[in-house]
Amino acid sequence: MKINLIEYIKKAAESTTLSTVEQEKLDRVVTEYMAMKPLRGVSEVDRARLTSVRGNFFSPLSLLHVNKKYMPIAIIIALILSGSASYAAEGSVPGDLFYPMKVSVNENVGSALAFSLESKAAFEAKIAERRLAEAAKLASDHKLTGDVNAKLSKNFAGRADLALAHTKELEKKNASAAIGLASNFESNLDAHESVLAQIDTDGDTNDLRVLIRQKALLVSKLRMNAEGNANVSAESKDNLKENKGDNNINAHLKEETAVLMGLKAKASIREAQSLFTQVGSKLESATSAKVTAQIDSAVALSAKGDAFLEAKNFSDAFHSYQWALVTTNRLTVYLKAPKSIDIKILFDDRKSTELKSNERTQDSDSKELEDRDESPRSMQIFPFDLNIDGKAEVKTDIKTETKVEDIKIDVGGSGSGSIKVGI
Amino acid sequence: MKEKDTEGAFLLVFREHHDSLFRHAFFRTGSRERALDLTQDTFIKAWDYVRGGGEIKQFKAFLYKIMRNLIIDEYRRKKTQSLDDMSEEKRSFVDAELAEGSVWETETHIDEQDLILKVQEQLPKLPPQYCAVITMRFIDGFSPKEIADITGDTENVISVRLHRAITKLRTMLSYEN
Repeated sequence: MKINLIEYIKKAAESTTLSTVEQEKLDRVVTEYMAMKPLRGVSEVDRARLTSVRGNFFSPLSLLHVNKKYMPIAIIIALILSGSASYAAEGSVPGDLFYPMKVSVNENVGSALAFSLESKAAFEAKIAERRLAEAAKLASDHKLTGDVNAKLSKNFAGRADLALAHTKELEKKNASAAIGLASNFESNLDAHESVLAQIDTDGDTNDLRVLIRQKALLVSKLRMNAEGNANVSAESKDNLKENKGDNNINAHLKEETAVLMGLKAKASIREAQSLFTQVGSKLESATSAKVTAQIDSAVALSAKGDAFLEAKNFSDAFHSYQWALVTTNRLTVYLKAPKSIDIKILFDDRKSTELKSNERTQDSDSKELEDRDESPRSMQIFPFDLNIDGKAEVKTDIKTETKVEDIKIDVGGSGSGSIKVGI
Repeated sequence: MKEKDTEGAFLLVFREHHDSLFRHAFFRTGSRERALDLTQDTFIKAWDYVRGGGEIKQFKAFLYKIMRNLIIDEYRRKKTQSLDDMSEEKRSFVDAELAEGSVWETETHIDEQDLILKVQEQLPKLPPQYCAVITMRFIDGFSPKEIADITGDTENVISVRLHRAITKLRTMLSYEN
């Protein structure tokens, strides 16, 4: 039989169309965006009134004049995902006038309009982290009451579970995106927990910190599982040597995965550098030096990833980029903390998540970390002061190259422990 | 008011083209979710342009140019495509020798619905330039000249590319069957 391909292309097109729900969503987004950004001339009076308050279009008082119906949803999503603080309600905490709008309007609408699984997972993770940032701010002002703490914890747990569920679903379709999201979320949870530990002098956030560690462990397991599946998938395809076409597809998939991770890492480095420029003057010189060193390390990791990519070593490129991303995202959490705190250097989060299931604030004679696996990408130690629970200091000139050394650490002055480090 | 007329006109254009733009994005990306994101972004950018005082002579072509640029940005994140393009260009000469035109003979009975589904699956898997010309020509309904205006290529280049793209798609569908 004769087949006219063009005819079938047209038939395929005819059966592809927007659903009613999708049309309505698109319509709402575009019309709301148009209303929020009207043509020049008609709304100059309105715009002048809105921008006169604090000189910021998104100031709290301006919201009183803006019909909620025309809230720029696409912009809200973009602002939330970018972490921008310029949207006034986004910076509010429980007890503030516009906090209910932030949670019940902005966040719920943003969630509903995140179309893809990746967007949904990233969105929920970001909202979960915002709860932790709010808790930190309240704790630093000694305003974290039991009732508010419970609500924040519940909301954090719910959002974290949603992020986990979406990421797990995403893994089936796009393992690289799922791994990237999980790495980021895991590291940021760890950083938030560290921030709370340092800020909360009243002990109000102990339960929340336990909850954070629990969720971080779940994310860690999800990430490791996804990485394991991705490696197995890649290896099994590599073994099909009789099918060159499949091997080419696998190589392309690995390259695509690495390239995407590289883009995310570079964007994160830029954000960390920008943030450091804004808040660097408020930091103590020692902390400032640590931040600079971590950013430099992330840049070096990214450059290493570029070199691996150039050499078509896609697996190592992916891991280098992943560590750069994790490093800078984590750093960003510290830089956004409500007060200047000590910045913990980055350990291997895969192991440290398990270690942190124990109480971090208890005195410990020594922490003996097992030898990491021999892979050069499994752990990084950066060349600056190493603080262990504030009771010991070790200066090390270990560079982030492949080298194994024993380090002796004097803990609490009552003895000595040793840590074997594989770099 | 003039501004109200412009807003009204923009909304009319939006409602007239959002379905076809979505369809274009779907066949370019193979993902419904990405297609929705791209369609949304296209109209937001178009509105920004209008709001900035930009003049648009041909709205349909303008929208497709924005969409095309957004898709190119996405492809640039996938560097592998450049390698695919080179190898596909070379292979297309062999494909052209094996077949002619878009009509081919098959001895086996073809299930129509199955073939439509296969076209939906395989079209986005073509190299980007091939996918683009087929989508714009047979799904969006642009003439080769209009496609050339949008892409910045010559009409001859578009015609040759169309032929190769159809041949390639036919080969892929033959393997599938």
